[in-house]
Amino acid sequence: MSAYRINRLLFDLQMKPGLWDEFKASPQAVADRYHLDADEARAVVEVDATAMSRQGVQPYLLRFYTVRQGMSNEELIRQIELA
Amino acid sequence: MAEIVAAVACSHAPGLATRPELDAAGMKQRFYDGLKEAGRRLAATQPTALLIVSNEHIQNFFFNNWPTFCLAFPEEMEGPIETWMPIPRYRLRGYPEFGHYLLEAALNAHFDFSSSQELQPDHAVMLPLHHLQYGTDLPITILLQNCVQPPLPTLGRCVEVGRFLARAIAEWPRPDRFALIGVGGISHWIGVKKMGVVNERWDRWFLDEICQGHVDALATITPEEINREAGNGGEEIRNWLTVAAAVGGHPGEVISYEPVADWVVGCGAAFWDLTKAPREALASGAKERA
Repeated sequence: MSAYRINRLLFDLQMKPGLWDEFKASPQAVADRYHLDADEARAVVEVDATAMSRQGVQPYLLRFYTVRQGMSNEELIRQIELA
Repeated sequence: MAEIVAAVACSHAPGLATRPELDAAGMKQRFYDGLKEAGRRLAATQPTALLIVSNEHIQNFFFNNWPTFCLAFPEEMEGPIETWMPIPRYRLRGYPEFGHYLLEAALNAHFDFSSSQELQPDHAVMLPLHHLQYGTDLPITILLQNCVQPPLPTLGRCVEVGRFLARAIAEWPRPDRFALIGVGGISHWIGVKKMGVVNERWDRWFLDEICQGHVDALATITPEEINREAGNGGEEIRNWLTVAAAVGGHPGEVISYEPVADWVVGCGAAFWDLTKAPREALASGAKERA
């Protein structure tokens, strides 16, 4: 169930006013607040879709997060295929 | 006293808004035109209220309180919730009196829906309304069915919900003319392996079957088949099945189908005109299989 914490962060990044800007400014601090372990925090901060997919991140949350981070469909597909 | 006068089911790919650049084969243009045509036909049946069957995409609700079925009937709504999505923001009117009636009717019929008097409709509702170019000024009620976070309700249960909706609308004491809109699907894989695949063969089979009113047969599709043939996004056929069940197996018409690879979704649109259907047949169709 550890993906719950990443999923919670990705949900809040969509919905909590101000959190996206705060995350862009200091991603590690926000990841710490959500109690992500080192691998989880690295995957989210580096927008590593392969790792997030392996960690069990909810596919729709993964998709919207990567879209918002500017990742193309083509790149997301490439990274997911490596998972 | 109320009746269902029409129904539409259609896909709601975010690409409709985020990747509008037309393709050389003309697929996107034909699908945009198809949605507009479905909206034109919908308008011609002169509905007075909309009931939209959709699914959450984990934006209004999270897994701390995640509904299998949620009836949303706010006084007003504003969407899409995805403020980054390049489509106009709409203010929509709810229909709280009807929503409250429908929730109570559901509970009395042992459909234990959760409910919400707040909702920001997402792309799944707003893209169809925007491209149908119809319905944003009608009172709207939204039924959300879980199609994205397993375990999911069975297809058969979604069919039962559709038949319940038909009965409840027939007993709603105002002379409303309801149009139903089911949104989602058809085949697509989102955020999982196979993303980008569109299964045109399966999509066309599904469209043909649902427009022939083969609701009970479609409800026997196994989870394995959906996963294999239509992907996690294909789970949204639940919303089509609920609407097709609500119109009592009356035949529909395929308005458009385009396997738009650039939108990573098999895009379909179907329309049911019930203004010419014998009302007794519709009511008994919904009752017999209840």
